[in-house]
Amino acid sequence: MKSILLIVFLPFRVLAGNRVSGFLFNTFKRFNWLTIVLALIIAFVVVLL
Amino acid sequence: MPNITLNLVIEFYLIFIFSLFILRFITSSKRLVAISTVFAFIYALSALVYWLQLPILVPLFDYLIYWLPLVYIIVIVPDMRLAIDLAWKKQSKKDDFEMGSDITKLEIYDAVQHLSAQKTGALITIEKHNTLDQYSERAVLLHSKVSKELLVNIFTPLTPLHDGAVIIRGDEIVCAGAYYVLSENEKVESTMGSRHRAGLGISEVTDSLTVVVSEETGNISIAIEGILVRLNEKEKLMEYLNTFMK
Repeated sequence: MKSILLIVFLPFRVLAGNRVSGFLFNTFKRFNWLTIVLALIIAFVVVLL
Repeated sequence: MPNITLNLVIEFYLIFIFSLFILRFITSSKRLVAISTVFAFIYALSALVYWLQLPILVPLFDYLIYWLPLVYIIVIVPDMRLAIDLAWKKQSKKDDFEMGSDITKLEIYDAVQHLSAQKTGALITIEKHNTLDQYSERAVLLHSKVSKELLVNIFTPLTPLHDGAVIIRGDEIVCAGAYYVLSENEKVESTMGSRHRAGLGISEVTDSLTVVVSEETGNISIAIEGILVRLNEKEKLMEYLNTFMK
């Protein structure tokens, strides 16, 4: 039962886990300008749509 | 490609600023990144469900997508509060602040040593640049001179004011019985009491210094800039007070 639950919730566990969120957090912390680039992309996409 | 008009430029600018604000907020803590990643995954999943037109899941995801933003906001409320408090910390810095005299330092020092020896819990916050008015307004205003006797009396068990914090501004005890928002720092020991968490909480959102005396052990701790330091030697308190109250 435990293994089944583990497999079912695996994507959520991986995403919320330290590796993915930690990697994202560290990347944004290291490259501060990424947020500006991302915000520019979002603004472009929203305006163009 | 749409024609570039003034309206379009303004719209682009506002969306850019809004997105940047949200992104900066989300990437400010690991917890927020983790929560946002999971929610983004649910949205990606819903896109897949709509694309494949899965008959059972489409109405379910209709419902989910409708309520998900609300759930997200509820989950991130503590982080929003902290972000607002931190923004307030930067904004509310007074240019003219007053620090206590040497006599005040000595009175605080003597009171803390006495409370520690008696194993009486105490929470004393010394204000610096950031005003603590929002806390003192809800507490019992005293506006009295700092004295050892008064501080000891305030924290005497079973008295009405002993449970809250005392706020000191300059040479004056502004109020007693003030209550702070407890720190949610996960790095601190889980056994730490609410008095220490309160001291840490106020140090996270203001530039004040808080002296915490443990009720159980009589240990003296200092909370400053989101860090709680336990003083092994009680005499070190004076060094901290001297450095902080310059």
